[in-house]
Amino acid sequence: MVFNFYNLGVLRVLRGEYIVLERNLSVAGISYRILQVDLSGQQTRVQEYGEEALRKYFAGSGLACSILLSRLDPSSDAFHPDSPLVFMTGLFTGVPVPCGCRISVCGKSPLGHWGEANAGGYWGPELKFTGFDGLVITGKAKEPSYLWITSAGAEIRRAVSLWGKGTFETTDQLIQQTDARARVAAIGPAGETLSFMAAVITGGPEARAMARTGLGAVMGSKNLKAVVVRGEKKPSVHEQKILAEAIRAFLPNLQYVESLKKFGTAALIESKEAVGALPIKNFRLPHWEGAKKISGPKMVASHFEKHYGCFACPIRCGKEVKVAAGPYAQLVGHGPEYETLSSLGSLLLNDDLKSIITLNYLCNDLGLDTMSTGIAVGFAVECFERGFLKEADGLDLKWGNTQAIASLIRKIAVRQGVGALLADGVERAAKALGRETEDFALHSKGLEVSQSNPRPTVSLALSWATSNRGACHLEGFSHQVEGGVPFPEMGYLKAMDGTSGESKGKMTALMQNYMAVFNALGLCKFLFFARISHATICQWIKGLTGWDWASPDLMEVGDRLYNLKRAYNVMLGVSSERDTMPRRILEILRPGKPFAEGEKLFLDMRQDYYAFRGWDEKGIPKREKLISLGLEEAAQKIENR
Amino acid sequence: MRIAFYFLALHLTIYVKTIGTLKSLEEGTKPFWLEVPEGTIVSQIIERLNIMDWEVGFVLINGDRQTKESILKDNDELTLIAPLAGG
Repeated sequence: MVFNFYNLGVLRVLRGEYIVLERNLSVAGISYRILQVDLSGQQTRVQEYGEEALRKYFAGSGLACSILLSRLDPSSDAFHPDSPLVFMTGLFTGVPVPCGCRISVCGKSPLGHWGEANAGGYWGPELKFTGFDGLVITGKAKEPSYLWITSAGAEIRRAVSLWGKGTFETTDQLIQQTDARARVAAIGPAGETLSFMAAVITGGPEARAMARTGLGAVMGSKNLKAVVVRGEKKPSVHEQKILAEAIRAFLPNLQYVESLKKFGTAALIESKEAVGALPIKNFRLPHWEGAKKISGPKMVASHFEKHYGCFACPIRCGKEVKVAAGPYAQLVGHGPEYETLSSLGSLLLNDDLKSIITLNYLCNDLGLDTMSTGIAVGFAVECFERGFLKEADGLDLKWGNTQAIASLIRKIAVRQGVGALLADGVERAAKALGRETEDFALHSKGLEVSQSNPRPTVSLALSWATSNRGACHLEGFSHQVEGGVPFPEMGYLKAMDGTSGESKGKMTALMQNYMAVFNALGLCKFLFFARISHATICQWIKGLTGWDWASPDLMEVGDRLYNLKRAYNVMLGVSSERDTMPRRILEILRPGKPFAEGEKLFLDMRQDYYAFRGWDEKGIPKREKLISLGLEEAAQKIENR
Repeated sequence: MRIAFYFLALHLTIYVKTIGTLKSLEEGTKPFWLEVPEGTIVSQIIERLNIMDWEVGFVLINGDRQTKESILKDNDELTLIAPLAGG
């Protein structure tokens, strides 16, 4: 195995450098310090936590959820100053194991339930390097502000001149104002106008986005334009030899993600189209000739500048691309990934690759989630086509009209005209428009669906519906196991019958548990596609912390985290009535058959899922289930709600 | 005549397409015809094309999803698709 694609961090561990135990702790790589920031009182203080919490929840969105549940006031709005916004690094974030790069941002989503978004890049590792594992931000600054966090501490600074600016310019200016090596997480106009689709963007044009569930708007509600971090404290590891050996043993697995190295997730477009899994014309068509024009190989052939990766990543799925003309002419930035090529491409019958790159830049600059934005635009175009939307500020909202789509996206970000109708997502827009528009408002729990048609892998509909944050594939990735990506530790070795609901409840729950572990560990889920084994992850954990773990321990943490987030949601009124899919998705599950057949398939899968999870028929975790996972506080809260 | 009968009886012709990121498709591969013995299953074609088993995620025969154990018939259109890992 060659190491030439490895970044410096991993090489340094393999060479046995980089190992300095900073504190006399049984677990290294973690500072056990969380920075509490009160923007109203302009105060910060450091809170320490113990190893017990780390063993129970890992870190990342797991630890974040335990903090947020203990502080949850169900009557409080997501935009209330007291509503906390938590940035939390994972156990491995900033530790140079392959793909140890992820950061989670969590809080109450403006959608009304558990909010969580995750990103790679360099911001999360840099936060870890400041000596804080995470940030808990409450209050509301009296004027637009940004946080400047270094190893020396934290400062709340004015950002009045940046309010209204895009994330690219904001990032540039804040780097100039602070440190050339600083990392910036910023919101754009969409976060300032409190769009429920607002993202937190890191890396400027490289745009690794914490996009889902509108947490950019929660930042905006706090008058917080950005969080800028620069650290010097490199995390240490417990037993470097074990870690280095386990990394080496894993390296041959990178053959499984060769296509992600070459094309990024954009590699998937043509394959998805061939099996009927590419969303086309708002999920109305199974196939489309235009897919060939927007594929990963096509993008690499025509717009490619260079590969780039996140911290400690040997895959380097990022593709820098540029376009020759238009508002972002000559800008070199993040090439659209599969989800965006679909949401701003095939979903809208847009086969103009240059326009998708430009629309991707536009969304990243405005601070919008490209996945939700594409679904919102598709909803508007269909409403316009079918007469539910009579007027759209003069925009000719037709399929594939990229000029109109770009104008609509700008309007969404600033809540102007028809953009205001869509700024809070399709669930709210369908409520406003009424009639049967909710049939094709593609969301669950208010979060717009991600870009896969569940026709060939029906478990995706179940995974979307039961996902804690709403309809996102990353919460479960069950459709990957259904399609043949192996999950050997749980006995899934071959592709499953993707049209049958049989045994999908159990598999979906297990995958959701496993994916929750990745978020808490701060590891990229591409490792799953590289077929990382539980044994390898446990060796990495041992090398980092000294703990002896095995596969059942990992899966138990995942089960605990999924139930913890479910408990958070139950406290906010979530039950089976919110674990739903719109009519169009249910129809897709049984193409050409009466609607009732697709609905029955879905409800049967959901019933099996609840039973396997130890939840009642309303989707509420049973007390004994929560107790068995050590979640006594959650059980008590649910009982007293 | 005997030779022609031999081919008609024991060999099939199938039309093969590879889609996505199978290594043979790096620069774009055109569909091609392949002659195979009667009773051939999909996994044998995958092996014959020098593609690793894990590189194929989905198998379509005449547009319908099938398994790698499916037996091919004369004039079948076989589509091999890389796993949909990543999105």
